[in-house]
Amino acid sequence: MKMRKEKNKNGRYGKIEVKSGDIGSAKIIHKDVWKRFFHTCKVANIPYFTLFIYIALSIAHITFSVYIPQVNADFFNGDASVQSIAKFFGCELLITAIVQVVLYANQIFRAKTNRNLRNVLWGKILKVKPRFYDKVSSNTLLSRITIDTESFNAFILDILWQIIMSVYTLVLTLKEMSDISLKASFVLLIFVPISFFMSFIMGRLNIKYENAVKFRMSNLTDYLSELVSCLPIIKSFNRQHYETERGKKVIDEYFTAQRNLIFLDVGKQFASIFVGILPEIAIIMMGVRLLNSNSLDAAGWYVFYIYAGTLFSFAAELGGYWQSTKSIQGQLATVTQVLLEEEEGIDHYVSDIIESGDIAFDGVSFAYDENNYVLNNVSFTIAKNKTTAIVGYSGSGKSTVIKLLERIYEPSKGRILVGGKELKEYGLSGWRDKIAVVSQNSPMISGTIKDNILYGIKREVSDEEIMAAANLAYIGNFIRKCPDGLNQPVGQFGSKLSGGQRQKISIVRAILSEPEILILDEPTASLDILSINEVAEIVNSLHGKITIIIAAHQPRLVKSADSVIVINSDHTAVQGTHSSLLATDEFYKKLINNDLEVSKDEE
Amino acid sequence: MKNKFSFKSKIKESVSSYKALIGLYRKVKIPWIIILFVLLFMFAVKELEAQLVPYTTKIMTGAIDSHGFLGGFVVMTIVYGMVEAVQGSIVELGNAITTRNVRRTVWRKLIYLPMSVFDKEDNQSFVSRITQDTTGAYAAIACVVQLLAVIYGLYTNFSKMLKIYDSLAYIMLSAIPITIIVSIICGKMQYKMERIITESVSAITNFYAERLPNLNHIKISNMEDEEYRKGVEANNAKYKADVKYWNISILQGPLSTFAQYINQVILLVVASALVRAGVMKMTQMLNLYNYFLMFMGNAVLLTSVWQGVKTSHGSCATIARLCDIEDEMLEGGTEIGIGQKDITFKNVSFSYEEGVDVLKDVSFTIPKGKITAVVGENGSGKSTIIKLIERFNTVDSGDILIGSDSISDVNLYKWRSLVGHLFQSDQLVKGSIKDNICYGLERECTHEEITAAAKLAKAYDFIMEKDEGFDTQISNFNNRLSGGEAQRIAVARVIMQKPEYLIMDEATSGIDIVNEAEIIEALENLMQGRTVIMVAHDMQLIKRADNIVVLNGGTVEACGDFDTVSRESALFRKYLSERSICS
Repeated sequence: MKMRKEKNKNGRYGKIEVKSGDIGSAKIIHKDVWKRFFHTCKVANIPYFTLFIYIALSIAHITFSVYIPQVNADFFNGDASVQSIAKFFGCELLITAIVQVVLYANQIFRAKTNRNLRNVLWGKILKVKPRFYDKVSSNTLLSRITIDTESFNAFILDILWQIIMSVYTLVLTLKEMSDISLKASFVLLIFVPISFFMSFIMGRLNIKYENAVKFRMSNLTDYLSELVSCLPIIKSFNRQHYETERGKKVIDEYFTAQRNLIFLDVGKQFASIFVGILPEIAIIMMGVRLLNSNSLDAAGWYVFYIYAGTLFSFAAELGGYWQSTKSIQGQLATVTQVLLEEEEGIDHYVSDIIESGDIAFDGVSFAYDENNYVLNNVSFTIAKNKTTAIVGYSGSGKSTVIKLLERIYEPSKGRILVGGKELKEYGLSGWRDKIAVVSQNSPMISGTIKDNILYGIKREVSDEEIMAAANLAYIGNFIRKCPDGLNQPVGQFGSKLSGGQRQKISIVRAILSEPEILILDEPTASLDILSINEVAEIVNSLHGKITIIIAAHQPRLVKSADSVIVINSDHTAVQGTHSSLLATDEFYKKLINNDLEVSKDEE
Repeated sequence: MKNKFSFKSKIKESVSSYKALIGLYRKVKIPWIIILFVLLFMFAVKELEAQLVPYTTKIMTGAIDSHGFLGGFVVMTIVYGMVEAVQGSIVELGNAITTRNVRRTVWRKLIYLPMSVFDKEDNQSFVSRITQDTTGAYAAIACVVQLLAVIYGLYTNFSKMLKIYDSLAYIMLSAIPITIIVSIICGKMQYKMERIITESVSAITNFYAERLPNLNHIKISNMEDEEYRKGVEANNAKYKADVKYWNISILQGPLSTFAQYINQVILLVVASALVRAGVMKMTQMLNLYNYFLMFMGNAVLLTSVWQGVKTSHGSCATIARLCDIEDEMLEGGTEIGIGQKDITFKNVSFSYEEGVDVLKDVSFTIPKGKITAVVGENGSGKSTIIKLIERFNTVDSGDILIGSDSISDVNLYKWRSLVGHLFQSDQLVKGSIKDNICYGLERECTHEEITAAAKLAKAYDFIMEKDEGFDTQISNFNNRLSGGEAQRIAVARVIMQKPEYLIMDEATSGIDIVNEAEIIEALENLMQGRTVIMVAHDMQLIKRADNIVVLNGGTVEACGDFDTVSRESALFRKYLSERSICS
């Protein structure tokens, strides 16, 4: 009981630690946001040529559209001549055509940017040190690749480029306006900052309420998915009415947040109507004076009016860019973070040739974060061509030992020696070629059974050889029964196969990869009693030929091992043989006896 | 059979799905008053829009000097802006309220649906039905309202044009059919384009969805380069789909532009000729032009009406059909008498899919007051037997008797309150530990009672170790509890429920061998004096059963006590021998 107490405490402190760590890293994210962001821009492989074409086209577009009011002014001022009408339509058609082309270039640029960033990001995800995925679950990266990457192009086009364009338009417009009336233009210029700040403040307000809506939405999703996961319990305990009401409450909370946003929106629009009318009044009053003093004709007035409108709408747009920048940076936060993460396998390796020999853990400690040790100063030896079992409480660090062997993790303290040399001195891919892993969840990827069996095997393997290995793993009959045999598709994540079948296919893969070291991580987790026996037989048949490491608590598998390592709940380790541990280790005795009790009854 | 839910009957789908959609609107409370306001404000917007035209024309021609122009313009602009803002917000509000109401209805339905509906689809996929699909419900209502407003707008614009120059106005009516035809063509193209995008998005999503959880697998297999190449291919496929989309789209542009301009050209050519001939004034022509622009705007809106119906239809198809399924009949049926009774399976057959029998003509008895173990390989139909007893599914043929009553005649609510259930996983309900232990109790329970149950379930000690004790917040999704701890809380819950019948579905799977002893002790406390049906792999539990049913491929291979079953069942003997090899 004492032990468990400690473990719980550790667990709890661990949680808090992680949380404060999160907050810390959130702060860091906040601080370095621009630096990280520019790093992303640098590595994102932006298609500059396409960007250049787009920029050229859109400058042509803007320049042209600035002159349109002047061309059309005659028409609106009573010139109903054929020429004036033709000019009017010519302009309209030309501008529509240009818009189409600009839009096309714009979209092609976006598609290319997305593709390039996805390529870069995927390459990086594959190379990042696996420790990173303890902090950021690899599943959440899905939307980073598929969705978030698309906001990067928005930053370039909708913000960076738009700001340049807005300023360019403002300057062009102002120039044209000052040609008409210098004084009037200066008066109007006063209103530009007003309209800029107006939209800036509105944007800030909006973000607050929008965040409330987003928060409620994620709340709603979380809440419902939790409740949906226990539908059978709800029914079994006749709690339908109670849960209906609980769900309704969350649905209503979301509605309230949404409604507040709507009300805010009305207020915002009212405010901008009143603020927006001021420059309008100013323009008209000035127009009246200019017209009366004859310094402006009707056509000039029309052009002036249209320009003023452009001026204010671009000023308002500029005010909104800050908000959009922030929100895009928010969406890209994880992407930028991933792109800055350390990669694995780039350290300088002393040796590419891997010695074979005993694997020794020498005072190895491992912690996910400081003070929260999963392995505490453990030392043991995994002898070459012998079978070694690792047992222990769940959460005691069995899987960590295996991850250290796979070099998914590196020890925080201590050394792992292979044939007398430190493991980290060997080339990473060379090492991984030497090991084969059959893991608890037997991962699979869509494709055929054959694709999955040969995954990662680089030599040519004949179908006969595959089937021989499949027979060894007791899956040969199943494969023969499949309509397409080895070419039978396995479905997404291998969903068309049962857990046991997937497990056995992993075993076939392990056999075919001819490893020097075979690692079995809870290989019987998803098997029934009959299949457990089969796995045990496979292990037996390989016994003495290669190094085998099994993490398991099936006594059947443990007992046949040459050596057993017990990971205690305080994260230390003891090594011994079956008989020596049975005499000295409480946990081991318990593990084996629990099972013996039943067998004795049967006799 | 009757309540089996098929997602696939595609032929009748389109007709029946529109019916189902209308059915959905009948079941949901629709905010009619808000919608009426939307309509009124839309009319007002259309009217004010038309009123603003003379001012716009005056600005265009520089006639801003006239008396009262500025005041009128300012007032009109403000009023128009405000009315438009309010109109937009009411539309949003109507949307939010309708969505909320649909969500409430669907959520309630989901809770009350028969469990068999969830056989084919993952429970979690229903979350997006509530959060996402429902958002499309308002579109159909909105577009009906919009249709009325657009017709009103078209009428207003047309009558104004009529006043200026009637024959020209009549010609302009042709804009409506042209716009409709063009938008149908564009809609078809759009559909094709959307398909390209949806498919490419789902392709790329599937690719990464599968790779990301398997990153370690990729690394250990040294397949980084290969997977990088495949990723680049997937990204390229998405890129090509994007380009294809925009290639079609660039064809779409000129088509709709053409439709917009043809009438505009006619109008201006004819009107300018009239102005040159002195028949029409320039301001009249400009007014005509401005009204026509609005007229065109409304004509375009007209074509988007059908789009709204399609949106609702598409996004609500599944929830509409869900809402069409009958609730479970909780009330009614025979009252079950006091005292435990035998549960008898009489020639029961059951299948989830046509042609794939899970249970074939299964008969056996679960004697009252005793422990019955159901044994068999994965997929032999063990869990199905439990689902049938729990009445999550209904037999295809044969019957299950409780005493002498057919299980389907018994009052469901009462039956479930008599049956306690320990599930294999997802045992917890969001809330505190105390909420979980008291879950399903209609009476108030005292702290002593809860403590006693927790002690019996061997859960008291670890609960007290938590900072907040019984008030610790738990759920299936936060793993503040280990599998064994969650299991023991579930045991305490069943102890509180005091059921007469107890169902245990693999109650010790996924539990550390070290904790197992404690759990088994807790389970023994629980099984005392109850009729127990358990599915188990665990020999320790099986050995405690009075009665064992061995299932093999959906049929009963043997049934009886331990000795009978070991004698009669080859499969069971095999189990036993595997076990003895272990020692």
